[in-house]
Amino acid sequence: MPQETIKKWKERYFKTKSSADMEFPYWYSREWFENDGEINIVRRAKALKRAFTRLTPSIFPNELIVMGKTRNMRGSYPMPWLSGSYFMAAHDQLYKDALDCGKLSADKLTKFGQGGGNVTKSGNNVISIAGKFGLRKEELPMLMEMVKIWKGKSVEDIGHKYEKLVPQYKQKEAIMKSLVCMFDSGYTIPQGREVMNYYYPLQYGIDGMIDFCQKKINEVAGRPDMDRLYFYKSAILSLEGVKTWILNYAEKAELLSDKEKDSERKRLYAETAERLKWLSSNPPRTFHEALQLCWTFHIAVLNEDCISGMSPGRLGQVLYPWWKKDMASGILNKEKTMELLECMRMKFTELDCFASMGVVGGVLSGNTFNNLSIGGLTKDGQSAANELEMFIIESGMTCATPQPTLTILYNEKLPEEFLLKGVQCVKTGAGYPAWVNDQTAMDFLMRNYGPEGMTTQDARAWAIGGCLETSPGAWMPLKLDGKTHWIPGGSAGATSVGVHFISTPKILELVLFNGMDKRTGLEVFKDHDYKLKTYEEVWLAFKDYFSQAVDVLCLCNNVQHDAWRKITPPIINSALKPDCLEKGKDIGQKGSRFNATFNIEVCGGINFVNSLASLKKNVFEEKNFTLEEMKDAMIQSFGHESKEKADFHSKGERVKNAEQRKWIKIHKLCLDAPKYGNDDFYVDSIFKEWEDWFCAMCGNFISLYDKPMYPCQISVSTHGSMGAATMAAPDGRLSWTTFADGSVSAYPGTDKNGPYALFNSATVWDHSASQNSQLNMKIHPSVVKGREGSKKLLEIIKAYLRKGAFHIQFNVVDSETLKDAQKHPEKYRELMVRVAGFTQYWVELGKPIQDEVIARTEYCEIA
Amino acid sequence: MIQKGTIFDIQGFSVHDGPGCRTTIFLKGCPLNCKWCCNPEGIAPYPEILFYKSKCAINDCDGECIESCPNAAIIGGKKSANINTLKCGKCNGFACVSQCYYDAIKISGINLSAEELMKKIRRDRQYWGAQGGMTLSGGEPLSQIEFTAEILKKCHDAYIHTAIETCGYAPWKSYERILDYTDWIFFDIKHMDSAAHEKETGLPNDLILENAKKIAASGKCRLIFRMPLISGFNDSRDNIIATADFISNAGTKEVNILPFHNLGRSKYSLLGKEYHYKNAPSFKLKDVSEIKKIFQKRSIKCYPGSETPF
Repeated sequence: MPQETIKKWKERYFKTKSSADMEFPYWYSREWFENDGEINIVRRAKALKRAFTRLTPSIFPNELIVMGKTRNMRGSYPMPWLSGSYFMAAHDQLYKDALDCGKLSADKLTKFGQGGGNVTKSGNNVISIAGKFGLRKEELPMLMEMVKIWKGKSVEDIGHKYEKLVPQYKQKEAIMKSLVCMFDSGYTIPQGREVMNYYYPLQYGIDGMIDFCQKKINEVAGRPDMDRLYFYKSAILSLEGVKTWILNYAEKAELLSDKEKDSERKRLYAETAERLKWLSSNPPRTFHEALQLCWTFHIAVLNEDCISGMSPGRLGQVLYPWWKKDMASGILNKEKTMELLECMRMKFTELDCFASMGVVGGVLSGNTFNNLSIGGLTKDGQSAANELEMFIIESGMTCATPQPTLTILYNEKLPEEFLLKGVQCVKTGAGYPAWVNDQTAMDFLMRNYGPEGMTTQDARAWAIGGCLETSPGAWMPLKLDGKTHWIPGGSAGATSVGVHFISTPKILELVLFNGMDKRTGLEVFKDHDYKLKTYEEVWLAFKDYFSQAVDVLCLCNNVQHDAWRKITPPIINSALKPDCLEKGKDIGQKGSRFNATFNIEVCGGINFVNSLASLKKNVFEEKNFTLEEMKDAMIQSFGHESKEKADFHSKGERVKNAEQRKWIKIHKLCLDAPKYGNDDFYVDSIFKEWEDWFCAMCGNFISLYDKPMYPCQISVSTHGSMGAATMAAPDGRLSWTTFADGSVSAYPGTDKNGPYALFNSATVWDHSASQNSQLNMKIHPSVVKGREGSKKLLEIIKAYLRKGAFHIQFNVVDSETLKDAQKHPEKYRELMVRVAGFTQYWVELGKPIQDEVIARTEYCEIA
Repeated sequence: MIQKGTIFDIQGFSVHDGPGCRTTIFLKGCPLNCKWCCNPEGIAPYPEILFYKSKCAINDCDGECIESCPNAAIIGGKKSANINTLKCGKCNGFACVSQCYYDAIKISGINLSAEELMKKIRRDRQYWGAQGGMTLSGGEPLSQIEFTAEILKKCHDAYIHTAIETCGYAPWKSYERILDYTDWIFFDIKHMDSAAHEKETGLPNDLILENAKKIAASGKCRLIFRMPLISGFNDSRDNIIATADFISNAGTKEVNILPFHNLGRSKYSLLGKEYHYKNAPSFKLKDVSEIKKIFQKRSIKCYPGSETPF
């Protein structure tokens, strides 16, 4: 795309605020309540159909790929059938009820970035809801009305009613309120962290899919397992809704074309109208059409549920057959390819996810995690990287935006040229591509999905779903012009639902204080009865508390997800995922090929491990001070002001209080204790013990789909919010400050022996035992300057992954730039940084995360 | 023989001191005393104190460092303590370092046995990639010749690529001991005029030039000259021409010119030393094109700064 056009588009985007509107919720709810008594899934499908049919189409200038989630450019909407409490005004009773059971604890400790497209304050005719979205004042009464009519009927409310029947439910409330756990998974973002599968629409078109369902209805009507009948009927209804939605856009394009004076634009609108009309029934004929159809289904799925991390997956390999064909026939060239890909980037960047403040701000930092994977292997084990993927990387450089972020599925078989192109992109400072280990991921997949029949070939179809969630795939036989191409796509529902972010430092704190949370005054766990006279007892008590937390959270979230699958079953996403259409079952009824998809996420692991090392050394081995003295020091934050008094979030900005002198000795010993990231066996062996235990124990807990759960170790942005609820710790970290990011990144400034020592520490355990691990590195641009710098950056990536590590990503940025950007955000609207699994505009990040990124150890060279 | 080396830094993912990704080990002690030196902590052969005066908060602690010093080198002050560097350094314990809560006192220089260092090198080797290796820098690595020779031989025997950075001032027999085990030598030429050389570095250049010729003649390793470009000291056209002629006559064909920067300035105050080049102008890479031409005219490949082909 001409740089001028992209520049204008970006400017338009930068000026656009995140906007919520009530069109979709209104029509969905209206149809829903008109169909009281209908079979539930059909009732939902009718509601979806009505809503899609009624969405007002908006087409913006210069769009070659059209359609959006709503009529607004950065548009999204609340889904009161899922959850309503969080966008209620603070004085409302519903809001107070939600506070009481701890559902909003993360919201209260979350800080949004004040800049960019975030609407954090109400003003004029716009109301700020859920901390980020602007809603026109005149639509507010309708929102309130919606929330009221859904009260007691939403997934949240029904789930809540039944999770209370879990015997330890009371403990769960305390766990949520004390922020031992970040958020409930069932009614917040129940789908996502998975990979799209575009195969059926691409192969059969919408009419073909409807025909297929119709034939299936003929086969199953009146026969046992009748739920299949309702599923097929629902799929047809939903697809009809999508069809009309596309046609409405076609009509709009036609209208624009009629009115347009400029002949070039007139032609573009007319072509758009023709393209959409064709796609409303048929499979795509060209690359351009195929890309448009993928985008349409992508947002169709996003509109059916509250979703973050719905990743396009290996889109460059999915679209390759059309691209190759169009390049050969001459209807496509390099310039046109770039134009379309840049346009695609802008469309993905415009996406917003409407969820609670704690989730959108505290977890996602406003990001939607549409992760595009490149590289990896083909079905028969060859390098899958292709020329179109080279253009995908290129477009990430010429049109640097946060979405879609890129991930290279690194395998030894990938060509050097392709890898160096990825390195070139990293060096622009965009924060992507991230690098993940293809082999380690496949080992994990085989371990986790082998019992469901996954083969080595199946494993090769994987991709990253969401920020860093290893997600299973499937090879689909795409027939185009008489040839069969095996294209990869997702083959499971959300691969990251379940127990969402347990704060390990917080549990250790509770172990030391016998289950009492000093911040809230709540008893979270019963007295553990350990005297804590030895290090081993601390470890045992920790295992006990941690297991208790996982147990109750697993049970309660299973209940919530059951409410979700019963009340708002996924229909459009199911129609896309193999093998739901074949089986006649939606994802919630285990229609997907793979269903062992629930996980247990943790946060703060490195601070926890460092704290154990300090306790072991200072309290139990060297007896430098007693456990009681340690606890006093923790309560006093080693003599530092609480965060409320001083606006600081990371260790760099200590504000001492009058008492501080008293705590110097203990604090010094805590800070000097061995720290992870230095190839120090003392602490690394503790790290390994923790990882080995945690990765194994997850399998003891059983998901809603009756499968063992697995570990997931990414921080996203939770290290900010969860740190804000955790007091000072034996590792010397001060109260209420941000934890280390990722899962194998060192705590900022504590890795003092360079990257190789850090790598050694990070790989003491088997990364394939976990869905992921996460290492973020900050490198000064001068280190990787020039041609040789590129080769050396590639060397360090290869070296780390060769050790079996799962993931590494880079911020190639000068810390001084970031500090200046914090002072003068207006000068840095386009600056992007890598947080933990995603790239985001600097100005849209909350201060706790900004501080943490600045504090990260910067690898630079002293001459 | 157990010979310990005194090392002031080990840098993993070092990218400008030889081919590929490397680990560079900085050894303490240098016979020269270049006034612009960017690693002034490498000059003294023994471990010494770095004092971060701005971090010191003598009023917010009990001043344990003062009592801990056996030489009474630390005295209290209004805002921060003061360290008398002349008195310090005579104890090997550096008790003051572990006393300081504010991380205001650090030691530069640890003693490692060859085996201890090899352990780290073997670890790092996993991460270098095909091109990498180990570089001994400093200070002057040959000022600890026993240790240096042992490390180079051990690395060589383990198929590790070896490089050294040398100021050139060491007895020839020291070079003779290492040439068989050293793949690359970065050899500093600071000035062709011996008197000028002595004025700014403390020593004449005759031994240095002699060694350079002998190494080149030995044909045993890849010899890359390095020339720091210091405004007003060695950047005159005459000196550059003389240097280029010398290199050409020595029969080698590579020079890496390192434009002066003052990034090492903070270390002088940490060491309690005076920095004469505080206000000296930093060289800009674009200023070196003329200089580059002089070398190229003599068929010498000239790499400015980090723009090296390795």
